[in-house]
Amino acid sequence: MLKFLAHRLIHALISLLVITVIVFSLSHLSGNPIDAMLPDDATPQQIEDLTRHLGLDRPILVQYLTFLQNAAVGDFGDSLKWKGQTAAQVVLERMPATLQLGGLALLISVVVAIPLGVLAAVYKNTIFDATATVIALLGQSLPAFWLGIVLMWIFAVTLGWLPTSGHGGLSHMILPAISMAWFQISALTRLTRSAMLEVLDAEYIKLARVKGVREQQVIWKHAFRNAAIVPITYFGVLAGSLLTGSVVIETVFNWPGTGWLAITAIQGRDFPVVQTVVLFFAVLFLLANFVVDVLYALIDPRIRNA
Amino acid sequence: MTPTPDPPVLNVVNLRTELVFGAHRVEVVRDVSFSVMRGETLGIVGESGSGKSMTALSIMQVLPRPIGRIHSGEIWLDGRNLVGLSEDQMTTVRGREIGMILQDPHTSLNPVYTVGNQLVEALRLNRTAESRTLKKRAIALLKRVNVADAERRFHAYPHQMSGGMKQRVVGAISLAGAPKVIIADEPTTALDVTIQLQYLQLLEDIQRDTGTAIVFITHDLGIVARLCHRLVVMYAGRIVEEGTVADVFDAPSHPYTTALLNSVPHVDRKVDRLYAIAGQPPTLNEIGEGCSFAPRCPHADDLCRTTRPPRDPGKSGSTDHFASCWKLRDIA
Repeated sequence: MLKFLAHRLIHALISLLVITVIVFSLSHLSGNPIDAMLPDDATPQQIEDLTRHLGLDRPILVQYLTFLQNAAVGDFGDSLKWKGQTAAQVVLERMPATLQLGGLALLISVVVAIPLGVLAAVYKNTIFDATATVIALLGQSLPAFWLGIVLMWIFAVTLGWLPTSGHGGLSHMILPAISMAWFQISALTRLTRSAMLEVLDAEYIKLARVKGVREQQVIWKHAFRNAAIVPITYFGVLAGSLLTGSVVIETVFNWPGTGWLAITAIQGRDFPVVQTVVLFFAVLFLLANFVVDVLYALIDPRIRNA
Repeated sequence: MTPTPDPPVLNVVNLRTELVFGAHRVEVVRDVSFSVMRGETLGIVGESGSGKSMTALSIMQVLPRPIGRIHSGEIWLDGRNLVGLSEDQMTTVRGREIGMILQDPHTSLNPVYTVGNQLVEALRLNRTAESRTLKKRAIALLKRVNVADAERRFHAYPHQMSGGMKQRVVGAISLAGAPKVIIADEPTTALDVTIQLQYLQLLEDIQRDTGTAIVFITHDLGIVARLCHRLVVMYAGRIVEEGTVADVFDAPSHPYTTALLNSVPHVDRKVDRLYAIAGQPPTLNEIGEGCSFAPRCPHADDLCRTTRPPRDPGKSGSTDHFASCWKLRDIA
């Protein structure tokens, strides 16, 4: 078990290193930052001074190592667009709101989709299964921004139960979290259903039944634990995409998250902030996938001992 | 007054099982009756698709969901009719009164739980041991089925064991409830030949010790000859012949049984070409009113094709040997 996890952790660190190389190179591919920082009529002397000040005249490898060294302590330089703040500060300010909303959306997705998918498989070809399929189909065909607006109109404007938009307590998060989660619920439900259908046909399920195990236990103890590998795999993607924020949902609900920040920073060529955001997202994805690896190992002894 | 013989522990009467595909129904077990006595081994023999496994699943009432269902008939276990019992009542029958061993040991143990976990679960369900002694009982069972190093194997996962070892574990699970009947559905088909023999020996030992009745489903006549006391031969969902192993092997009375026996290769006889029964078994919705074997039978005539043959005494003359064939007396 420990050997397996150590192995996966080393993989994650290597991935992270590769990502830093990409992030570092991208900022160099997308034009000279000096052009973005200085006015058009800057003198050659000013350009040279700034280049030296920023260390851009040093060899590329040295620049990368410096970048890596600074990144390790969370120093990505000062933001170009948000004056007087470091890039890390700008991103950290936005991060909690995104993690809250993404976390809630993630929770809703899992809590709704897993039971829905399992029951849809158990009651295959019944009204229940058909209902679950319709819910899944709706989630995948309704655009999130449209769903967000409709939910807002029903529950905030017409019924007045929830606030329309903005950042606040739990009540502010419900509508945007549902809008984000619905699409994911669809995918997760369908994956869980098909995985369960396959497992329910297995011989060990038949053996569990003939040895007198009650149906409830057959489904959750014997079948689900085997089927869970599939939804867990998707969980990595799911967690990554929900926790990094959604530009569309943040715009519709006026939510101060990192999705919006990333777009604004890119448009403003605020490289330090872009680099920070991308690295943050990468770390989140790697963490999510590491959690997936841990779950794999907990659930399946064949993976644990591999 | 003549002494009444012991009643059979399992008595299946006119069992009919069907699979329902929407408006379309296919009968997979057609009017099957047989009984097994305590301490007896009954072989059920037939080709793939002859309905032997469906008969077993009907007895356990674990037919494929939601398409399989028992249409009619009775399944008497020690004086109680299992047909019509609720799912809750059946859960207490499964494992505790009837155990089952499945065909492929590589797929019939749950890969994510240890052998010990699955064995203890069976013991707990069948309330045959107190919770303190569950582990001890489980290890004793593993030893009973000749699993070497049982204390260590208790903690092993199925993927860490060989096929023969896993099938022993499945056997131990089926024994956990001390059932009156064990249904073994081709338990040795997936094993190496040498392991097969050991496994059959184990089943015989267990039967001698516990007196449990065994229903042994197979297509291997060699195993039937070695292990079983009586056998029924199934074809296309029906029993075509039944009797003691000696009677049926010495005086096969249905052309299908004769053909099956002829299909067994002998090491001591050199032949250019192995015997095979002409044609294919019918798909079950092709079967007409008459004898199911008629399309492949060299002796069939119009009567065979149109009318179902009665159950007549077999050629051995024994009182418990029967066959269903119109030509029983005509074929030498």
